Amino acid sequence: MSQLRGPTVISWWLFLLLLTLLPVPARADNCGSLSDCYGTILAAVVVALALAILLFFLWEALAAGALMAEAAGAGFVEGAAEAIEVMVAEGSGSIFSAGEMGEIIGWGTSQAPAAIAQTEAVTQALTTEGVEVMIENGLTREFVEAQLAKYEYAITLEGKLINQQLLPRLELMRRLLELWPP
Amino acid sequence: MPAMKDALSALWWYRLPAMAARRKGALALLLADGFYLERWPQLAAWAPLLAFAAGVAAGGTHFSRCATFTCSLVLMTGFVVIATLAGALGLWLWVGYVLGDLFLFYPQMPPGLGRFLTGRLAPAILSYLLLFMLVSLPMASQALRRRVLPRLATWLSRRLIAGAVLQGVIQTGLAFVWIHAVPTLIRPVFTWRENLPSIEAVAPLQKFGGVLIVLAALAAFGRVLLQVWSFTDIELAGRALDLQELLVAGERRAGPAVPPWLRVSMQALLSTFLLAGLLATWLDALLLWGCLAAVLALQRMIPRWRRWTAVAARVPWLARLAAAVVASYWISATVVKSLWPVTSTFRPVTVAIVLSITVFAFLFPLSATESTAVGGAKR
Repeated sequence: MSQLRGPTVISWWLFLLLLTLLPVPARADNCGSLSDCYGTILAAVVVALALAILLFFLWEALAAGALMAEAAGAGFVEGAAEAIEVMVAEGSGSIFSAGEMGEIIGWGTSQAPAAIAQTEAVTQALTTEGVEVMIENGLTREFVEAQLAKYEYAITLEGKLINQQLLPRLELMRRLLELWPP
Repeated sequence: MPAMKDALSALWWYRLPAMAARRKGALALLLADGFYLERWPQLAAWAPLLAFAAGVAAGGTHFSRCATFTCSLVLMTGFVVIATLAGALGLWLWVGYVLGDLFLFYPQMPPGLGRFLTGRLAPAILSYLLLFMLVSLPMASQALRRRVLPRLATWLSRRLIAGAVLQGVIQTGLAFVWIHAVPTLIRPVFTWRENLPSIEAVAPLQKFGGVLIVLAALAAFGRVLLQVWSFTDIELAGRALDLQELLVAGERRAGPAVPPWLRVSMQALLSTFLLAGLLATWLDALLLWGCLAAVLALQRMIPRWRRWTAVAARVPWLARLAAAVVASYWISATVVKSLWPVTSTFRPVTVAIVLSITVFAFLFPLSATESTAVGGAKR
């Protein structure tokens, strides 16, 4: 995972600070009435805008709640897939990440039926010539062996296997090694 | 004790999310948010219990004699920081707060059903909703980052610091909206009990809301870094991905189908309830409910104008949001300026909100919303 340089990070933080230091219109007292709650017209306008945005996000969440939640839920695994990719790439001594290797191989990249079918189709259509092209593009035997080991390990993990790509990719790795030129 | 620790860990971070996944995907994912804490097994086992206990203490005392959580900046900041570090801990904190507030802070029932409903239950539910919004801010900012800016988010996820900063920036924006909205929205906690809102219930957010924003942003930034570091434990990373597959792919029992008119009515009712702090009379409430229901119905009808929907779908989500904010600002300024001298009620703000949300409905017709939600990249 590459990181940004110091000045860029500092400029991001300056932007963030600027946002928080935006002049907040003066307001007063206990919100007992309109002018009491918002000392100025500008303050009332900012609150009206904030409430409209809040309502909009609430409606968005209600309209697409489960899907938005799914997007948010991806947050709890953020970094997990990348960590595994890095480990695999480092283990194989390759300059490519697992994602880039995946692009070379052309496997499906999600749990969707179409993506799984894509992985299976790649396995079925694989030829020695095809493997040679992949090798020319940067695929390494170490990567394939590491992936195979990872998938075999994952299958032995406790609990029911939910990752639908696991078996198709396992087959794909085995087929790649079968057709690997000597 | 090791067996106890393992059993607790499995309960919080596997069993409960898996159980919730059968019914509500959103709840399951919220319960799993913070799984990375398993890097520290003792913390993962005990933190949810501690969060629940802290929530009960916060709800039972409010850390003051004040009627609502808005009196304590420490409480609000604690909630948002903990919920950012782990959504599940934020949820347990909130559940504890609700129970503590209901049964410890207000141990005596007011006489009569009417007074119980209007003076106790309704204001309490409103304040819990507002607090839940604070607790769900981190999840909302994660969803925005991934759904609204899918390509940028994917690109940035490979650039750790930039991804963490983006998370912090989005959370800053949402926290900014929350701290500006809540002093008005919390009013019914007082007015429905026939009191005036107290200064101490409003002042912390109005005077020191910036502190909450900065800490929320820092927590969002830190959470990304902490989690990514935790997953350098490859075995833990593998388990996290396995859990995600389990939660996302799990079959859910479908709830009963809700007719569109009922959905619109209920959504307008919830929105009116949330905006009750702006309303002076029942007639105001009825009018607001009618207006919001009309806007919601309009949002569902706009897809019939296919040309407009196609144009709207072509414009990136963020650009439409910026346009809606600018237009709403102009409308709100015009309305509030014109009505400011003639009333001491909150009607100018209410009218401005209705007009602004109409702009949002036009720029975000429901079909575009749904298509975006289904295929995030289109946004």
